[in-house]
Amino acid sequence: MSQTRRFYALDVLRGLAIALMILVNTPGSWEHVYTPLLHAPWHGFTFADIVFPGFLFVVGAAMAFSMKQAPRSLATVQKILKRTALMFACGLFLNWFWLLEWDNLRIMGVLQRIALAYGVAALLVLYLPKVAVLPSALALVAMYFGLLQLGETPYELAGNWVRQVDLAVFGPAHLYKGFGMPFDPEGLISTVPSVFNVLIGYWVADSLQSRMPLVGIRWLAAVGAVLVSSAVLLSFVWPINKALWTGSYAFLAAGLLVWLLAVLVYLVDVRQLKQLTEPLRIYGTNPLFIYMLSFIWVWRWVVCCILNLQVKWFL
Amino acid sequence: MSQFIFDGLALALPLKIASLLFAISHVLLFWWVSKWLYQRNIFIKL
Repeated sequence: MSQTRRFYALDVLRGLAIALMILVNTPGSWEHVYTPLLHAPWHGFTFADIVFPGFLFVVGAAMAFSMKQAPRSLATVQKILKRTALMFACGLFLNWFWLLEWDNLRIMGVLQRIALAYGVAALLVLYLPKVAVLPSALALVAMYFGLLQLGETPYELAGNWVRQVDLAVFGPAHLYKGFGMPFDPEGLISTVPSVFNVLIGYWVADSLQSRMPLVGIRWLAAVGAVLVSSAVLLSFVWPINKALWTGSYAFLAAGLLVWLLAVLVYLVDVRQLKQLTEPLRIYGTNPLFIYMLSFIWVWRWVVCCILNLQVKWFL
Repeated sequence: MSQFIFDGLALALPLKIASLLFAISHVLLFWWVSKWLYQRNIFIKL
């Protein structure tokens, strides 16, 4: 399996994540959506819940190639911080674009979480030896478990520590309000375990490079099985919850994505079904732009058509 | 336009299927945008 082809499978996975994100975010009516395309209301896991970790996974996987030759220098750190800041700013812009006001501007969001998780993961990859990447990813999840226990009711909406920290740092006006009270599903503290999903993507892509197709697929199947089994066992003490990004959720999503990557490597490298996967690869060539464009498109659709509000400008 | 498309689909199909087809039409729309950019070697990256 050549590096190019394995990279191709990751490009296909990135495109698939974009396509699924648009599929989940643009129903004709939110009142008439098939349940798997809706996020779990609190505890639980649906098909839609795999999309966001999918983005983080491919960000990490891409790092296995982009940071291969990166020197441990101030210039590299500056480059990482610049990308982090720019991505965070793009997310902030989308939040502002939603309401066109500053007083209730939501600080965190999907792009912001991707930015922060990328920044932390990239610095860890840059400065840690390769063998320490996976243990550090697991340590972050363990640390998050400890942090969550500081909340009055660690796994409830009102009393979880993610919410308490966000309220203290950002204030209620700057949090997501879709849960009936200010609570950000992309909170500051819950970004810690999302770094795990980036680092798993990095570790998987890096490890896969030295394995031939069928060996690689078997290895991916085994890694996926370990992650999914761990998630199931962990869920007895730590409920699967996307909004809190619990360890069981992070493990389950990562395991399913590893299995999905195994399927894509099989289609691309073993079956050579490039024609089938090429449209998805093309989808993944401009991920940030397409994400932002679709977000703005959805905004237009929600505001203009569903809420029937008067739009302030240009639409 | 979006409302018109969804209403049109909803007239002929059950609401959940119409809603899903509407979402799929967006997936295809943005795929077309991606392809258009790709064919012109336009890659927007940070």
